[in-house]
Amino acid sequence: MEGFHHHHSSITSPFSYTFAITGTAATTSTFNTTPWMNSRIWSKLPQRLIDRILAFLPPPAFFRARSVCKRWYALLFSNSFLELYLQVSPRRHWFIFFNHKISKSYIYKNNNNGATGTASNHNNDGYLFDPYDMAWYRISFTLVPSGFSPASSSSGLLCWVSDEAGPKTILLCNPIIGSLTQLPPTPRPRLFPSIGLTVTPTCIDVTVAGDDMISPYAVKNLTSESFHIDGGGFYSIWGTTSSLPRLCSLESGRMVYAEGKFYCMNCSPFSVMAFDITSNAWFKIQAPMRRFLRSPSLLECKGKLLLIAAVEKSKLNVPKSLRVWTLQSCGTMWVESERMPQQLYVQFAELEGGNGFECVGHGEFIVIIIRGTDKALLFDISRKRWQWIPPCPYRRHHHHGFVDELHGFAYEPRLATPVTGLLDHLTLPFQNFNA
Amino acid sequence: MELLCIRQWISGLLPTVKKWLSAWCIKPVGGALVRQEPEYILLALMGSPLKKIMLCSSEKEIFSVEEQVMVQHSVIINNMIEDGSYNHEESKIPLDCVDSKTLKKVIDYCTHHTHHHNDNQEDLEAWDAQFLNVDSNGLYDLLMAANYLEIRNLLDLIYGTIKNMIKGKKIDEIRRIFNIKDHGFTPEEEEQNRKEYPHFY
Repeated sequence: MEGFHHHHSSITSPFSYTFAITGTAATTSTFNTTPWMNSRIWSKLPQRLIDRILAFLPPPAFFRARSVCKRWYALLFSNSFLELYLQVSPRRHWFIFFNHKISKSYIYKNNNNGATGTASNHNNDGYLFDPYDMAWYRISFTLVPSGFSPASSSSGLLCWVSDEAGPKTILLCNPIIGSLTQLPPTPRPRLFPSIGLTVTPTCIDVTVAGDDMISPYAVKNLTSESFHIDGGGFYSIWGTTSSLPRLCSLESGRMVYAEGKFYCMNCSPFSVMAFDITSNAWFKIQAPMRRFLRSPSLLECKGKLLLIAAVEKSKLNVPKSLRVWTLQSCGTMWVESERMPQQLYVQFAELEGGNGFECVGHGEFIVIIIRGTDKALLFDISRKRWQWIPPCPYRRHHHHGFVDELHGFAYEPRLATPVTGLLDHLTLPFQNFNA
Repeated sequence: MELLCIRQWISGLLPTVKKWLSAWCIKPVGGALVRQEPEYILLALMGSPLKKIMLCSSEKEIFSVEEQVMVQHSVIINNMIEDGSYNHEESKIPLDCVDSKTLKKVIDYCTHHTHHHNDNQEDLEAWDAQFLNVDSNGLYDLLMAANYLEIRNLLDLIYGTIKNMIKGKKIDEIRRIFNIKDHGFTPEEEEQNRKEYPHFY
C-alpha cells in the first residue's frame, strides 16, 4: 500500500504532557484504579491480537507503549500494522487549539518589524484536547515553516495556508508522524481567504474562497477555487472556479464540511453560505433568528450542519440564551435542537461579559471558548452534559494577565494518513522549506 | 430444499432490492460486514424471526438461539448460513473453541443488542459495562470467542476495555503482563525512553 512514507528513521513522541495536572482526573486516577492483569492469561494472547489492542490506543498512549519493547516500537513503521490500525482504530473526536494570530494585524506588524515579539518567535505549538478524558497534550509543528497559519483540519491532517498576500500555498501536515505535503499554489492572488478541507481515505477536496485581490490594494469576495484529487484518478488542480454570491462577507474564514458541502458563516446580516462541491455552486441559506444572533458559529455533527449562537433579544420575551439549531434535510429550514440550561447560561454570560465566544465541534462534542479568558465549556450532545474544561497547562500567560485567544479545530490525531500519497504523484517543483 | 431455492431467487432479485433497502435506510445491528451489506439484512429478514439455530459448545452442550440474532452479529455464522452449509433440520454449528459458559455470554450479548438496538446510548453502555464485569479469565475467553466468531461490535467493546486497562500502566508492568522478557532495546535506547517518559517507569 503506497503512501506510508516515513520521513524519519526513528520517531520520538510528538507529544509532551505532564502529570502535575489536577484537572485531568482520568489520567492520574488510571494509575491507581486499573485492574490487575494476570500475566498467565494475557501472555497467551497471540501477537496479532496484541497488535489489535495497540491499534486501539489513542496516539499519546500508543507512543508511550512503544517503549515497552522493540517489536512494539517498530509497529509504527509496519505497513501491516498500519493497515490494521486504519481498519480498527475507533473514531476519536478530539480538538486542537492554536494561539490565535490575529492575521491582519500580524502581517502589518511583520512588515513594521513588530515590537511585540509575536512576529519574531514563530510558535507553532498546538494544544491537543481529549474530551473523553479531559486531558491536554502539546504538539509541536516544527515542520511547518514560518509565514503559515492553520486553516482547517480533516481526517488527521491539518491544513496550513501561507500568510502572504498573493497566490496561496497550502500545506497538509500530520504532526504525529511528521509528514508535510504541499499543494500546488492557487492561481488567483488572495489576501485572507476562507479555506475548506475534507479528506477521506481515497480523496482530498480543498476549496479556497473570497478575498480576491483585484489590485494590490483592493480586495473583494468574488470567486472560489477548488482542488480535488482521488484514488480513482480524477483530479482538478484548482481548475474549478465558481463565483460567490454578491455582497457576501466570509468574515470567519472557516468552512465546515457536511455531506458534500462546505458551509461558511456570512455576516451583516447573518446567513450561511453553502458550497456544493460536486455541482461547484454557491448558495445562501437564511440563518434562524438572524437579527437576534450573537457570535454564531457553524459545526458539523453526525453529518448534519449545526449553528450555535447566543440569542440576544426575542420578540417573545424569552430570556437570553445559547442555542443550537440543526439544518434539516430540506437544506433551508432550521430546528432548535439544544439550549444551554438557563442557570449555566447566567454563569456563562457573566464570564463572557459581551466579549464574544468561539465554538468548534467534533462528533458529539462542542467546545465553547470565551474570548479573552482561558475558560471553555464542553457540551456532549449525545449525553446532554455540560462541563467546564480544565485550563490548558501549556499556554503562556502574558505578564499583565491577558491571554492569547485560542483558535480551535476539530482534529483527530492519526498514526497514518496514507491519502497524502495521492499528492506525491503530482510533480511539483520541490520547495525547500527550512523550518 | 425449498429454503435453498428461495435464497437463490432472492439473490437474483438483490440488485433491485439493494436499492430499495438503501432508500429505506434500514439500519442493521452488529458486525461491520452486516452494517454495510443490504444482502445480509435481507437474508436476516427473510427467515422468520423465531427461526432457531443450534450452536454446540466445546463441552458438547447445545444452545438454541434465534437465527436472526446470530446472523446479524457473527460474520462466521452468517457466512455458514449464507453459503448453505448449515441445514436447519439436522445440523448444529460446532464451536469447539468456545466453552459453554462463554458461549452463553456471547449469545446473551447478541440477543440483547438485537432486541434493544433502539435503546438510548447510555442504557446500552451501562448494560455493556455490566456485561463485561468479569474476571480476567472470562474476559480472555470472551475475546477469543468474539474473535473466532468475528463479532465486530463485541470485539470493539472488549478491545476498548483492555485498552483502558493498559493505558495508564507503567512500562515494567506491561512487560510483566505480556511476559516480555527481552525488550530488545540497547541500554542507551532504554535510557532515552526513561528520560522521555519518567512517569511510566
